[in-house]
Amino acid sequence: MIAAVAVALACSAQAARAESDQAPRGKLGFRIGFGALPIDGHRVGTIGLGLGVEHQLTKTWRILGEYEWLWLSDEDATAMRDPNDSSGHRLHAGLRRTLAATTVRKVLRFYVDGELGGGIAAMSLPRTVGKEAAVLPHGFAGIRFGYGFLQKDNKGSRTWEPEFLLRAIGIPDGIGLSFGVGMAWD
Amino acid sequence: MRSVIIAAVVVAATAAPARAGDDVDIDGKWPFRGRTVGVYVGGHGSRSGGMSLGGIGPTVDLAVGDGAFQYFAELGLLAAQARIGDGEDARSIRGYEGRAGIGVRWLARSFVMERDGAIEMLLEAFTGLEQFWWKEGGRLTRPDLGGGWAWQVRMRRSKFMFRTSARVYFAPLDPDHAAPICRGSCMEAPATSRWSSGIMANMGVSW
Repeated sequence: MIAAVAVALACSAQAARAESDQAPRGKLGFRIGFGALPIDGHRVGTIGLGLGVEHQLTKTWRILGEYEWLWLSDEDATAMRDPNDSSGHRLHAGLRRTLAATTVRKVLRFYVDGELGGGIAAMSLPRTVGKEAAVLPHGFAGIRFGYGFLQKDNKGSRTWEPEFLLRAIGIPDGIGLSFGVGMAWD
Repeated sequence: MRSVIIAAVVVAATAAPARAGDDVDIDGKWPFRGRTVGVYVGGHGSRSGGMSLGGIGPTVDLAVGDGAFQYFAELGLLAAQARIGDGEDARSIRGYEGRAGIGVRWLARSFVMERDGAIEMLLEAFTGLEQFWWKEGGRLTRPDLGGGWAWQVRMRRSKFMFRTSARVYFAPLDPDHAAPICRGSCMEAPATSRWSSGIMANMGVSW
């Protein structure tokens, strides 16, 4: 996954030329995400409520920052009808680049973006994991795809973008995944 | 005469008069109306100290708009459930929950579509008081504090707003208050915090 994204980022110059002039600038948005992390041999499920900001660096590059509140559950224990849950907080920072985009009639933009970054999470852990809390640094790579409505002459937000995210998250114990759906406004 | 004055005051207070600034954009955003009523269905769930608490049901809110801000008071009546303890020793109890809260919404972003409607993002902060009544006896009262985001579709002519919100909240779990329903089992689980945090979500309409 990470290698695929890295290769895609490196080779995306050609695709980026197709990006519309109406790419959004700074953005504010939210996301709900579902995923899992390998922690101490347990598969810990995550539900995240996230809030994110982005700032346009160049025509195709954006810097991003996100906060996620996490609901955690031990998936293995849940399968044994022994549910136990906990919560945590996670911060992400990274870069995002348009890999391919096309705009239809100047009002609807479809895109595929790649992202790379890192962050840190502080969480209490489900009882069955074996330790009460953890602070875990992480790196991530992901793909975002979605569409955006454009209103070039709006005084307020000029874009509204529903989007999907598939993100690989590497922590010291292994690699987890997260899938999210969200919206963003510029 | 007295009843006429009272009636006039009630009408004035409950009507939703158009504010002078209703049609004036604020940085491209439509300002909130003076007064609105919202009806939602939603729920919440949290866990701490070996006890999970949650509820699901309707909530009503009354809000007063002030430009890009909206101040609201909300009242919910929910069907509640608590799961106490873990594993084979766990047990569930059911009951009812009443929740009253106040808060503020900020219209963070607004994407206006051809002047007829808008898709908007809101940020919320709130505080409230939760009261649980359990069918097997006992009560639990706790305050909550939280924040979250919402998105809404707002129709300009009909004034209707279709809104969905997702919130994170924090509530203290006082062992003394929880003891009557825990019967000693709650705090035996390794409590990483005496604060429970959880998710609250609502979906509904406002006008």
